[in-house]
Amino acid sequence: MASALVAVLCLGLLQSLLMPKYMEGIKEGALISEYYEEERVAERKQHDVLFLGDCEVYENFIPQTLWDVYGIHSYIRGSAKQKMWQSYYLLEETLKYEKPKVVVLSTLAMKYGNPADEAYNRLTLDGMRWSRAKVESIQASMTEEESFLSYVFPILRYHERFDELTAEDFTYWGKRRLVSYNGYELQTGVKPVTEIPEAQQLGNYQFSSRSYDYLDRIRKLCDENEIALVLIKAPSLYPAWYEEWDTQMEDYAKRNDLRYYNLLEADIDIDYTTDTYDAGLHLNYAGARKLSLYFGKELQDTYGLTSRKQESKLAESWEREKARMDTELAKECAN
Amino acid sequence: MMDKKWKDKLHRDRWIGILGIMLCVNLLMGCGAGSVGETEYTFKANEVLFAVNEKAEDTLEKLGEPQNVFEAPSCAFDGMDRIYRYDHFSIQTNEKKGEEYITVITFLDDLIKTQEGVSIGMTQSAMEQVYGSNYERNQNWITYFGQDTALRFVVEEGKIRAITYMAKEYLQATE
Repeated sequence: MASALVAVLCLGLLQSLLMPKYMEGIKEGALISEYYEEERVAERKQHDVLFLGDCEVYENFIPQTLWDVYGIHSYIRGSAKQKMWQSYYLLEETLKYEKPKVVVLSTLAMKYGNPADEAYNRLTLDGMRWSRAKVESIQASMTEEESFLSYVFPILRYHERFDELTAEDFTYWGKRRLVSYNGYELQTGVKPVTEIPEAQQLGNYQFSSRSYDYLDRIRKLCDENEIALVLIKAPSLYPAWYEEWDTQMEDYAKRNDLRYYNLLEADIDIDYTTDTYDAGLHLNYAGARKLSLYFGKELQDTYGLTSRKQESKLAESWEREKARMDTELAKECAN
Repeated sequence: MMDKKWKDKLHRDRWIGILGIMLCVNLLMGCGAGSVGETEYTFKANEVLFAVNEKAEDTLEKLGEPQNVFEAPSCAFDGMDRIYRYDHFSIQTNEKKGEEYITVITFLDDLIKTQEGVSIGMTQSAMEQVYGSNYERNQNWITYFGQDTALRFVVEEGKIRAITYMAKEYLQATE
C-alpha cells in the first residue's frame, strides 16, 4: 500500500514537472486557471462583466481601464483560439462561482465549426478545474486523435517533453505567478499595419450549425440567469471578417434582441500605426486602452453599470492590481 | 488425356492472363488525376515545382524576391505565419519547431494554371474533366483530397472563382 502511494506521488510530481508552465514563453496557457485565483479573494469574487472568447478579448480589453475610469469590475476568461463550445462550458462553470451582470462574447470563433487544434485545446482545457463542464468541454473539443484519458492524466500527453524541459519548468515546478491582469495579456510592442492580405473568397460563408448551437446555449444560459449577453467583433484587421459573417451576427442579434458591436466600424480612433503590436491582428496597450475607454462607456450607458469605487476593499484590491501593471509597464517601456 | 506439357502451359498461360488482367485493372484505376488519397497536388510557378507541406526555404529561394511579405505571429505559439505575395499567386507558410512549411498556395488571378491546366474562370465541367467527380462539396467549395493535401475550388454559377492548395491539417484546423 505504502509503495503504491509512493509510486502515485512520484508520478504526480513527474506529471507536474512535465506539464508546460506557461509562465514565460506561451503565457496564454495560464489564463484560464488564473480565474480561480481571482475567486479566492472575497472582495473580487463578483464581477459586473465577464468577457469570453479568444485573443480578440484577452488582448484587446483592459479590465484595469474599465475599473479606473468607470468603476466597472470585470474579468476576461479568454484563451487562445477559444471555440464557441469552450466559451459555453466556461460560462457554465463560471456561474458556479458568480453571476455577472453582463457577458461579452467575441464572435470570431463562430467561424470554427469543428473540433481541431489539439495544442490550442490544451491551452483552454488543461487550466480548467475538474467539473462536469470541463468533462463536457473536453468531449466537445477533442479531435479524433485525442483521448479523454490524456486530459485526466496529462502525463500521457506531455511525457515527450522530457527532453524539452527548460529552466522555466524547474523554476515554476509546483508554484505559479500571475501572468495576466484580470485575464488581460499585456502587450506593449508596436508594429504598424503596412499591408493586410486580401481576403480569400470562400465557398461557404454560413457559420456552422454547431457554432450556432453553442451560441444559442450561451444565450439561453444568460437568459436563465438574467445576464445581458453582448456580442462583439474586435477591431482586428486580420484575419478577415467577411461582410457575410457580419450580417449573420447582426441578424442573430436582431432576432434575439441582443446588441452586436462590430468594433471595426466603431468610432474609436485607433491608429493602426501605433496601436497594434502585430501589424493589425491585435491591439497593444495603447490601442486596448482606447477600445476599453469606448466600450466601458457603452457598458455604462447601455447596461446601466454603475461605479463600484465606493466599495473600499474592492477599490484597494484594484489599487494593488494597478501597481502590479504599472510595474510591468515601466519594465516593458524600459526595454 | 492432355499431354502434361500442354497442361502445364495452359496452367501457366491462365496465371499470366489473370496477372495481366489485374495489372490492367490497376492501371485503369490509377488513371485520372485526383484520386482521393493517392494524389498529392503540386504546383509550378516560375519554373519552380513545389507543394504544400514542404519546407519553404528552398522554394522561397528559387522563387526569388516576393512583391511583399505579410507576417503575423502565430496565435499563442512561437513562430510566425507569413504570406509571400508573387505575381499571380501567394504562398502562406507556418512555422513548426522553428522550420517554415508551406501550408497554403492561393491563386490571385486567372493568369496562372494548376499543373493540370485549370485556372480561375474555367467552367466546373472543364475542372471535372481534369480532376474527376470524386470531390467533397460544401456549398460553393469543391475540394479534392490527396493524402495530406487538398486542392480546393470555389465555384459559383458553374465557373471557378478561386483556387487554393492547402495542407489538409491546416484546412481541418481552420474550418
